[in-house]
This record gives sequence, C-alpha cells and structure tokens, in this order.
Amino acid sequence: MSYIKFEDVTKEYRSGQTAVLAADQVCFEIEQGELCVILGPSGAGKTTVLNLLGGMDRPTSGRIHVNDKVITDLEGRELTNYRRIDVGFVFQFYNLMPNLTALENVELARQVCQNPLDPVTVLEQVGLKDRLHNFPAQLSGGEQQRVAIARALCKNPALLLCDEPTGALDSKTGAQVLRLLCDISREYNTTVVIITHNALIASIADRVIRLKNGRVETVEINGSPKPVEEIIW
Amino acid sequence: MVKSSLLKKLLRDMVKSKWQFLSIMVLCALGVLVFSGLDATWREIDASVDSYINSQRLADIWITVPFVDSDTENTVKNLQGVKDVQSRITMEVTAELSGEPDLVLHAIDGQARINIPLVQSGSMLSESDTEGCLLEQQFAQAHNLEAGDGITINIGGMNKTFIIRGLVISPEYIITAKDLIPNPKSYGFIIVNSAAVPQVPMNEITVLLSETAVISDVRESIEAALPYALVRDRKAHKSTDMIKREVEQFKSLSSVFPVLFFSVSVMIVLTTMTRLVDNQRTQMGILKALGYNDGKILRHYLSYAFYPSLIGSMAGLFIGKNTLPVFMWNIETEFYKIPQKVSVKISYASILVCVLSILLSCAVCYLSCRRHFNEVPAAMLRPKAPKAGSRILLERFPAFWTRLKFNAKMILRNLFRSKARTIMALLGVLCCTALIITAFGIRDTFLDMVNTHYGETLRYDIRANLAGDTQEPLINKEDIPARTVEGVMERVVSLQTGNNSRTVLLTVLEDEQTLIDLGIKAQADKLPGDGIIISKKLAKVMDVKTGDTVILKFPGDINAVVLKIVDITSIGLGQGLFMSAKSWESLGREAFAPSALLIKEPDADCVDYLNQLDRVERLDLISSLREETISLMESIMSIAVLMIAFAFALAFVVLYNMGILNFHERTREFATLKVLGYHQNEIKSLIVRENVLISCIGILLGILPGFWLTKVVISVSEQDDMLFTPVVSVISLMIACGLTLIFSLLIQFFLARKVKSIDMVESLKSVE
Repeated sequence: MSYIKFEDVTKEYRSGQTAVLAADQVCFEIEQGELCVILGPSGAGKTTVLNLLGGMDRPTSGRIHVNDKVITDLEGRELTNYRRIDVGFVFQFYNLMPNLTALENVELARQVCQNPLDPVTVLEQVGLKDRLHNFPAQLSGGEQQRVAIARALCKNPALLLCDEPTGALDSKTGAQVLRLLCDISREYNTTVVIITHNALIASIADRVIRLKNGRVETVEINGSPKPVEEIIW
Repeated sequence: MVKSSLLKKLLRDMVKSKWQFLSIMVLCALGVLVFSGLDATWREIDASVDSYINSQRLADIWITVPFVDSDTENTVKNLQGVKDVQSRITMEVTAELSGEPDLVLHAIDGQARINIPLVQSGSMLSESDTEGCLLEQQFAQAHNLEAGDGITINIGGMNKTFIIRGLVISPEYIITAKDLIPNPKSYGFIIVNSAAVPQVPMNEITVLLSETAVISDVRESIEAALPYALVRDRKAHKSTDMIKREVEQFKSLSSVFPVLFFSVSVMIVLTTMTRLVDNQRTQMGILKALGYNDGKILRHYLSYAFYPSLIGSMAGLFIGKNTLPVFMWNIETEFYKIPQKVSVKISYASILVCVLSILLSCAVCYLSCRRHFNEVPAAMLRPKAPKAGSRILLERFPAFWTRLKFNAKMILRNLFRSKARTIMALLGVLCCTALIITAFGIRDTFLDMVNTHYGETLRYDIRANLAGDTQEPLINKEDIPARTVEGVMERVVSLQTGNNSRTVLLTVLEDEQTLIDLGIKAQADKLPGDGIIISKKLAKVMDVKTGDTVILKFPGDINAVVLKIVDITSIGLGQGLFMSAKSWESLGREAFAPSALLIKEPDADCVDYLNQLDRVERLDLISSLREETISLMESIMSIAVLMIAFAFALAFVVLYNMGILNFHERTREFATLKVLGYHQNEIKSLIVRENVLISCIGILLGILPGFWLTKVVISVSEQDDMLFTPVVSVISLMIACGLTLIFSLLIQFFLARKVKSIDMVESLKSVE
C-alpha cells in the first residue's frame, strides 16, 4: 500500500445557506520518499488538501491514510501527536516567531519531537551558518523560508508539507529553496509534498497531482525529474 | 450616505471588538465612580449634618459654671456676636435599669430654643410638664422603652420617675459616646423641665452666635467675663467634632483612592485605545486611498474613544453618586444619628474628573491616529512589519541566561517585547495587591491597637467606677478579693497651650501604680513625682513636646495651673493627661480620691462583691470592652470590604483586558505552535506561565505600596483621640498576595481555554 492514500476525500465549507466544495471526492496516492507537487490554479483546493493531509483540518467525508495510520480517525491528542512526530510543515509566510532567533526558532520545534536533528547542523545545511543568532526581522525572505524549512527538518519528519514555499520569494532564492527540498527528499528518504500554482516547478517532481475545482484532474508519474537548475521562471 | 456607512463601520467594529470597548467603558466607569461616589459621600454627610444642626439650632458655645443666675446669663447675652442664650442643668444621673446605665440629664426652663431635640416618636415635652421627659431614642430602644413608659432615675441620691413623652434625637448627640464608642445600653441622655428638678441649680449656658460672629473672639470675651467658667466651642464638643472629623476623613479618603483608581484605569484605557487604533491601520489606509480627508477619518476614529468613554464615565458619575453614598450612609448612621439625608448636586470636581476621563481617552486616540496619518496611504495599506524581536537585557548575563530553559527564555523575550502590555498588567496586579494589603492593613492596625490597648496598656481586668459626691462609705481596697487593686482619679480639664485649647481627661494615678502601662522609659512604670505626662497623639494635636509647659484649667475654678510636660506616652484609645498622686497633691488642690478602681486578677466572687457595694456605680470588664470595641468597629471594616471589591474589579478588567490583547496579537504564533505539534496544554502553560510571572512580580512590587497606602489611609482616617501604629500582619500579607495570585490565575485559565478555539487554517492563511 502507498505511503499516503486519499480515499474519496470531500471537504465542504459551509457558511449559512451557501456551501463551497473545496475538495470533491479527491483520490490519490503518494509513495514514500517521493517529491510530489500538487498543482492547480487558485481556488482549486490545494491548500485544503494540504491542510487535511497535515492534520490541521478534517474532511467532511472520506479517509486519509498516512503510513498505515488513518489520520481521519485520529482524535485531538493523537492528531497533535501526528503533527508533532510525523509531519514537518513549511508555510508560505514562514510563520517564524518574531522574538526568537533563527536558532531558537529551530529549537522551538526540537522541544516537542522524539528524534530531533541537531538545530545547528540543520541550519548549516540550509546555509544559514552565519545567521544563527539573527532575529527573523534581520533576515531576508529566502533566509526566513530556509529557517522555516530547517525548523520543519529538525523534527526529522517522515512527511514534509510545503505550502507555496517559493510564493513569496524571487526566482533565485526560490530555486535555492527548491534545491534544498529536492536534496532532503533524496538524502533522508523524506516524502515531500509541495503545493504550488507554478507549473514550472512540476517538472522537478517525481509525481504531479493536478487539481481543478476541488477535483483531481490528472496524476502524472515523472520518470526523470529535471534538476532544479534547469528550470527558469 | 457617507456618514451612515462610517457609522455602520463604527457599530460593527464595536461589536467585533466588544471586549475592548466594554473594558474601556468599564474602566472609565470605575475610575469616575470611585471618585464621584466618595466625593458625594462626604458632601452628603456634610450637608446633612449642617442642615440638621442649623434647623435644630445646635449651640455654638457651651459654658459650664458652678451655677447660673440671671446676671451671668445676661452678661453672656449682652456680649457682641451672641444671638441667643439658654441656661440649663446638665448632670450625669443613673437610670434604674439593668446595668445601671448613665444618662446625661438636661433640664431647661421652657421650650428649647438651642439644641432643639427632634421627636422621633411620641410627642414633645410641654413647658409645664414636670412628670414627663424626653428620652434618647437609641437608649430607649436598647432598653425596650417606648413613649408612655416610665423611667426612674437617681438624681443626687434621690429616685424620681418620669413618664417618657417622646423619643428624641438631638444635634448635640449625633454620636452619644461616653468614652469612644457609642453604647446605647449604658449611656444616653434625658431631657426634662427644670421645674421637675428644683433642687438642682442651672449650671450650663448654651450660646447661639449670630452668623457674622467670630467664634474665637466671642469665646475669648466669655472667658474674660466669666474667668471661672469652662468654655467649649463646637470644636471642643465631642459629638460635633467627631462627625466633622468623619466628614474630613472621607474628604481625605476621596483624594487618595480615586486618584489611584483613576490613574490606573486611565493608563489601561490608553493602552487599549492605542491598540484599537493600531489595528485599524490598514482600514485607515483604505479610507485615505478612497479619498476621505484626514479630518473625516479622525472624526470617525475619535468616536471610537468618545462614545465608550462618554457612556462609561457618565455611568460611573451617576452610579457612584447614587450608590456609594447610600451604602456609606447606612454604615455611618449606625454610629451617627442624623435624621435625614440631604442630597447634594453632583459636584464640579466629579464632573471635572468625568470630563477629564473622556478628554484623555479622546486625546490618546487622536495622538494614535496622527501617528498613522503621517504615513502615505500606500504604506498604511501594507501591514505593519511585525515588531522585531531583540535581545533583552538579561542576555547580557550569559551565566544566568544560558541556564534558563528554552520556554523560560521565550517567555522573558515576550514580556520584554510587549513592554507596554507587561507594564500595564504589572501595574494592575500591583494596585490590586496594594489595595488588598491596605484593606487588610486597616483591619490589622485596628485590631492591633485594640489588643495593645486592652491587653498591654490597660493591664487590669475590671474597672469599678465609683459614685462621686455621695455619702456612701469609702471602699477599703484591701477588702476587694483580687490580686491587685489600684485607684485612679479622673478629672475633665481644659488643656491650653499658646493658642490651642481642648477639653481632655486628666487621669491621676497612684505613685507606685502598675496597672496602666504608660511605657515610661527610664524608671519602668514609676511615675514622675512632678509634672505631667501627655499622650502622644494629644501632644501632636496640641503641638507640644517634652519640656514644654501647658496650662490646666479646672471647671469652676478661676486659678489655672501651669505644669511641665515630663514625658510622652503612647496610648491607643482615648488621649489625655496622666500624673502621679504625688504630683497632684503638690498642686495644693483637694486630696487624691479615686473615682474608679482598677482591679487585676479578681477572685471568682469579686464581681458579686463589687456589685453589692453602693458606692460602685458601674463595672467595666476589659474583656467585654474589647469585644464591644471590635464588634462596633467591624462595620467600619466594610469600607475595607468595599475596597477589596473595587480592587478585584480593577484587577479583573486590567488582567482580562491585557490577556485578551495578548491573545489576539499572538493568535498567529499560537496557531503556528499548534501546527508544529504543540499540545494544547503546552500552549496553555506557556500563556499561563508568562502571566503568572507578571502576576508574581506585580504582587511583590505591590507589597511596599500596600504598606505605604495603609499608612496614608490610617493617617487620614485616624481620629484625634486614637493613635494607630500601622501594621500589616504576615498572615494578612500572605492572604492578600495569595488572593491576588489565585484571582490572576483564574483569569489566566479562563483565557487559556480560548487556545482550543484557534483555527490553524484561518490563522496561517496570510498576514493580515
């Protein structure tokens, strides 16, 4: 069985009389260690899918399997433990703690997990060796995103979820961040799921899931993903 | 159209941030309420007392002489400034009732023109009625007497029964206290016609002055005309003096607490207001971009401050004026008998405070808006860069910093990052602690004074008051079955220094006395052979010190005595003068004759023995005096309860307000922690621990101000015949701190429950 499996996952947002189907019977699978890109225009339901996968939200119906666990069946504390142990999350807007230094932001994640990596080593890996003691406000966007990635990596997660990780970055910095994510996927055999509306990024992925209007349009397996250096946007 | 859509926005914003708006309202109300309440309290009591003593024509001057004839009366009447005089008999008699209570008997010839009693039930005494009397209402109630009942009194050894025509109160007896605390069971007054007691001479002239007369001048001319007379003005009249002092106390209290409350609430309103406006930054940018001019936007945002502060302050003004005075009136009239509460208009001072609170709210709103207006709309539309983290001072001490746990570091950084919030919360907790300490401190100080007075200063167990000029046989001290018996002689004298004059009690003690601890330094208990000892508070009031000389005048005696103050003694209750019998004898007056016996460690049959002695007029048990004093003062303690209530209200609003602000501003951070896999309890404990730290520091910082406030409150509320030493017991301190901490924890736990409601998805979408 696949590492991740969505079975007829539907998410309906209700407000008063109107209901919006953000995810409509979504089905897909992702294998362990893959770099998967979920692609779609805005409003396609990408973030909804990522939120459901990350255990931050619950589907209206359907089941989500992650590594033999049915996360849709998990209750409060177990769900938190799933986020805590299994998932690393990289946000579009970084979400760093403004009053903690880069190193401390990474340590923040280390506090709560079981087999953490050394924060300094991880920060060195993402190329922030000299920026350990800077506060987020003293870092550029790309640096902040790399701190956010380091924070997710430090937890040594089996699954790394990235929500538009390059959305707020220029192309050069964006490429650096993608390079990093690719390396992580290969090096640690971490399953990396990237959400983006940028079709160019899709070419670096092992698997591309295209969403449209809350439905899965196509799932492509990419036998020979391109190295990051070859894509330009 | 424009107006209505902005109005809609205002109303919706108010609903959205209802807690902030509500807390601004509540804080404005609290700040104004305490002031307007206390202000109205003293004004109403003052007005009621004035209206009472004016309508019942309270005497301006009382003249005590051996006897009054028409010459004396005319002499006084013809003095300049004197409007009216009325002579009367004033003497102490004993009522044939349980406990043999004392009554002050006033007998006048004809209708009362001065010190007119006010009939509460029954009827007034008619001029020719020699069988009837008017009895003090409280005294009658304490003895279950009503109009129509008879009362037998002992006048100079003869019993006479009067029929009570009416129960009265009198402006002369707003407080009827023989010593300090009113006790209607054992002390009261009775009024009869002078024809009913023909054997007693008139011995007092009551004087009413014209409005323009200068009291001190008239007093001096009376003293010059009647050199043997004891002249007292209203300041020397205990009842009038006490109620006036009570008013003064409230007046001074209303300048201490309200200032504290007002400043704290204003500060909190200011922070809340600033945040409220700061959060509207983007919307200000939108309005500006849409083409609204600064004035319009400013007016819109000023209404954010204006309406809540207007509603809150006005509510505070009216609620304070209409609740506190009623509450305090009910407490006060347990002691002070004033017939009718006179309402006063809201004072200018209260209105000023009300206006000030509105103005300050608007001013801070204006300043916050102005700060944003300096930016171009484009800049305003962008979210304000989040406040950068920075190193805090503590990190300069690596020895300390590196030892801290990660969470502790985070908490400390947070506290220093939002300095304004931290300081406000600190202040809130600090004030709450200080106020509660003060409330307990007032209690402790009072109890300490009572316990010191009745346990340490007065070392005897029973005081037997002896009848004065009776023919009863003298008592042989040795016959009394007790370990120690000592006699004291008490005389009311007029104490005069340079320009001060007061009627005080002179206590003459046996030379080798041991039962009243005057704390005389060198010779331990041994009284000096000459000179006089003055109590500390009296010395302070009269502005004299050891080595000074004072003049003593005895009623009915022309010759004054000049004495040197040889020592000062601390006495809690009842200030006065003390001297040894030896010193007394050296004055060359009558011999030392005890007017009361002090008895220590009585045998079981002692009380019975004393009761069967005719000479013994009344027995005072120290234990019951102490209980009485405490129980009577308990109701005054309700002021303390009131203070605690206000302190909690203040602390609640401050802590809750700050907690909510903190929570809203950091929702994103908490959401991130949630996504990172922090359990709810871990996030809660972060919030709670941060605030507990603030609370603990606030509590510690509040202790000293609490002591200071206790001192201030005690010193403004101390009456002239009391000497308080401000104390706060360790237990009170612990309770005060503990209560504040528990209270703050409760609020924190309540707030922490909101963590559950944080929606991770919503909070992470984008920076607002």
